[in-house]
Amino acid sequence: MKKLSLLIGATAMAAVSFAATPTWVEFSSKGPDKYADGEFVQDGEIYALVWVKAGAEFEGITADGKVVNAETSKLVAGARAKDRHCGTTFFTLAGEDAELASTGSFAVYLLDTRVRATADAEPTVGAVNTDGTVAAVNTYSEVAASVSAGSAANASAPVAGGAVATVLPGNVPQPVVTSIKVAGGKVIVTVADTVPYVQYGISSGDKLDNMEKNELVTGVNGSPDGDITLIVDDPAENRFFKVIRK
Amino acid sequence: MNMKSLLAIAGITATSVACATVTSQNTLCRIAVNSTAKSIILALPLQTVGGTEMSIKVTDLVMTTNLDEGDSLLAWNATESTWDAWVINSSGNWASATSVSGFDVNTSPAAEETALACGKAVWLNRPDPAEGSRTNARTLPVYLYGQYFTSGASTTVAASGSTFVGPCATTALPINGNGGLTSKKTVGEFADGDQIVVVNTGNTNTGRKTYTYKTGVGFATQSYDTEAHTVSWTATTDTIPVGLGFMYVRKANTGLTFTW
Repeated sequence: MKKLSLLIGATAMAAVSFAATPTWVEFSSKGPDKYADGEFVQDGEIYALVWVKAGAEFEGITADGKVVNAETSKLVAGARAKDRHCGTTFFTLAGEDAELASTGSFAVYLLDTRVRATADAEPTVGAVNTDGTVAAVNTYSEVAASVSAGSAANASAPVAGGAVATVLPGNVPQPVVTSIKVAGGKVIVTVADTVPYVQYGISSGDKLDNMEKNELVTGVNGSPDGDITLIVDDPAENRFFKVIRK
Repeated sequence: MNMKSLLAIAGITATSVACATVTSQNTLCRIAVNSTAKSIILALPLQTVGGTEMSIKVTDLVMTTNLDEGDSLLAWNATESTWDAWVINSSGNWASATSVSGFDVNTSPAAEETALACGKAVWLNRPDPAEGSRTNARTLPVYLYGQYFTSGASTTVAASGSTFVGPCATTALPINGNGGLTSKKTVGEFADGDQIVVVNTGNTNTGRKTYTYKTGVGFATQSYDTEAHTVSWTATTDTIPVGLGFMYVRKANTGLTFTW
């Protein structure tokens, strides 16, 4: 686990007017950080500062960039990766966030938002929505090993956890394959009812009960209009194909 | 960039998240049909991708891979009492055909759009090199692509006649026995003398196998004891190769239905 420093403290910053003694959080990672698949984190990737209510367990982040349980956790702030790590980031807990430090704990997660336009394209860091939320989260992993409380009396232990798969919201439509073509040794599959924050791939196998993820090792994100195209090799040994979440 | 706006407070209204299914609603299937026969009966065991009807256009089902210009598909059009035909054109694509040597072909342009019911079967003709421009050996598989289904298709065999039957199976189908063809019959009774003709190898008649129904035995092949000079019938353990159909020659004056 990469070293990450996360400081929570109180300061008398006069510029912050929401609280008499504003609380600040400082976090960073020494790096180099890696995604769960072993690739180095790309510049621009997002580190998320997450608050979890005291006594509660962090239930995760959904594929469309929300916390699973908004009553016991909160995405507080984010920072962009630079040079394979999270640079020192200060964030002031002001306004409605002012009480967070005294009511729970913080941890920092590295989000994997990489997307591919096509199966063969190089992955790029995903987009951020106009409202500031993350468009799509493939996976995430905790990078906070410990909390250095510094002068903060409110700091608590970090959330336990490791690399876990994102949870999907309940309203994700079930995709449907609308056409299939074969050309040049490739199977070209058109899929409808996809969403941008999910990566799709194809599983295949010679039996219905033995369909491994052995065709498309890199997923393709869904599209806002729902239609995407997946292209896989046309292996002679496979007989059944199904669209899956990567 | 404002870090707060980067990850705005999200999911405030979400108190719990149900688990969603992102596996596709439908499963696709590719069947490799291995046959060296010049003319084979192809089954229609799959339905249109993304469709709900138990049918498929044969030009969608049969991939052009490993086929050559001049190869043709023929489906019996009972309404017109002629054949609907498609042929691989010079571009390597299926095109509606108005003539195929040896067949009375329907000239209706609607033929190209004709979807056939799953459970039917069609002829695939692949001429010898000397007859056409064949470059691909018939040893290469012919591929069928479509949407897999588990039930809902049936095939009715006409009384006192011959009917193309295309088993809706994704593996080889035993002719006799539990789970085999005989267990798929849901309407009518097999009659003594009913025959199944499967074409799998060779040209014209050389690759045909015929199985005759014998009451108390099942679909059987005949053997001759050269010493005792007796004829006996033995139930076959053969299978109908995956993707292949067969001709059902019905002796009785009533129909028969297979439900897949």
